[in-house]
Amino acid sequence: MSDSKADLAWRSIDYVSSRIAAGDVSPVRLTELMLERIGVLDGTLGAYADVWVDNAMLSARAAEVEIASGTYRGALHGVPIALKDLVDVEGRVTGAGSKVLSNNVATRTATVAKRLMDAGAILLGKTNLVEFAFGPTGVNTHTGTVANPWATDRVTGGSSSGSGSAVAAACAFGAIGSDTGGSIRMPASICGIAGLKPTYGLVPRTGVLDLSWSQDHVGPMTRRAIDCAHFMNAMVGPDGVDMTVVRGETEDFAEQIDAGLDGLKIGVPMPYFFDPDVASSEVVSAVNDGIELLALNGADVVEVTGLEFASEGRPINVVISLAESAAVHQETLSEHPGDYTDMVRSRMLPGFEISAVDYIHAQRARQRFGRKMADATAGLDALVTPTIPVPTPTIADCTPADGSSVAPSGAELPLYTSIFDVTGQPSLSVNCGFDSNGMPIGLMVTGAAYKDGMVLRIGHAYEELSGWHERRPSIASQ
Amino acid sequence: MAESAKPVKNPAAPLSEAASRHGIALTSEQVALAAEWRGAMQSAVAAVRQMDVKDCEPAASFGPVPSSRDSIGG
Repeated sequence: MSDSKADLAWRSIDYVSSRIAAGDVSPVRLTELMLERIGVLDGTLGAYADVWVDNAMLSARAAEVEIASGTYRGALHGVPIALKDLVDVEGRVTGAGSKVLSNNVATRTATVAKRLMDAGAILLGKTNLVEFAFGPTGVNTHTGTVANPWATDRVTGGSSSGSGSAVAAACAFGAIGSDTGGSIRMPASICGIAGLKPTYGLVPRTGVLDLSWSQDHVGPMTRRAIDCAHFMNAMVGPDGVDMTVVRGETEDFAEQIDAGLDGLKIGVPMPYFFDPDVASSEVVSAVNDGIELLALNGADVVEVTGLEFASEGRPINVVISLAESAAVHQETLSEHPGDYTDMVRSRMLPGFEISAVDYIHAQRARQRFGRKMADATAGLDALVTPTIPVPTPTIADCTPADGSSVAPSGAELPLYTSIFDVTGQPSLSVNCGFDSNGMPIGLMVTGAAYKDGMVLRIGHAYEELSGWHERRPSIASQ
Repeated sequence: MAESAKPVKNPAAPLSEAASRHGIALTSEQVALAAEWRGAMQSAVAAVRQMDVKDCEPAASFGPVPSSRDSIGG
């Protein structure tokens, strides 16, 4: 089978890797194709902070030679991907979407970047983000607000805005994101792709800029859930530096991905996640259609009661994020307060008012919250909810007016995603349709800690049944 | 008198003082902009203070919150 140039760009990693392994597709051709698309589209999207043309081509040629000689490293070998610009690569700038770090040349390579390179992935460059990953919408008045390929006047979601946009426009086969309140899953939902926040403590954060140590997660963003599985197989496990990564033995995340839905018990938590006072009817309708599809195809779908306490998760997430980010940024804020955007500096500063007692109270409440979640979801294989409660706002609505640091829209975006940054459970967003403005809607699948493979299995089954992932944004469809 | 009940002439003063204690010198404009976000922080702190934490140790940054290991299917 021969792919047209345009079709090849839109294929899954799972597909192109099999063609690469068979010698039918060239890593050099794939990399040229991605670089060509970036050249055409990124002037409009602004998804990339830096594109490494020479290095990418060098790596692609090396991969091609190695594969031709009989050494095939696995599903990412020869596949062009991107890194969020808070992931260190030695000798390259880690700018973190900021003016403060615009000349910050990394002196080490992050564990995830090294592991992806060791797996043979071709690094195309770094993707733009919200300044210091501190914001849910994608708006960044210093390094530019990334445009959403589905409608360039609407936000991508943040903070992994460039990763979401680049993958959605087929300007990378996948990208790394990070998630503290939803920063992988929000842009995945809004850009119509798949994004996995892995179990906390599964993927080392070494070499990835901190925002909130106890809630930061590093994970993949791809067009298909199965491609997240291929990323995970390359990324997980202890590195001897990040002491939160303790589990040496991990599963093959792709092994059970085709096992389907038969016998799986999926919970739908109506309180909080489907509250009509918060969730829009368009979002709820699309997610309910998705749930019905799961039920019609073998899943035992049950309504979960007793999750009213879920509303406690967001305040816990906020207190911990503000206190920890204040500590992370204390030194640079004292040296360069004027070099932060008004929006991010203004959001961070109240964190300095949080007392140690209140911070510790939030960490204690977090433990209680996890226990209550366990009790309320006992016996389930996963929860299915909307990823984001509201339709995608415009960039204008998420940009503060002159003289203000607060935008009219955007604060609702992390209400659901942040719950699982608090518990540390694996949580995946996949596309489940489009709203009346033509913007993607996300369905979130959340599982038990270390059951990331189960979450990906359900997400993959849903994609296979629904086919929503096959749609392409018109701006990038060629 | 509880601290929250004390009359505060300049609501942004605690923010400015907290930043100053941490070596961050702000302009009056920067303080005013940050003051717009104080309400969100205060609401979150107030909500967390209401939560029962009896018998709970702080969740540490070592692996997922322990009890969530057994959640949804374990």
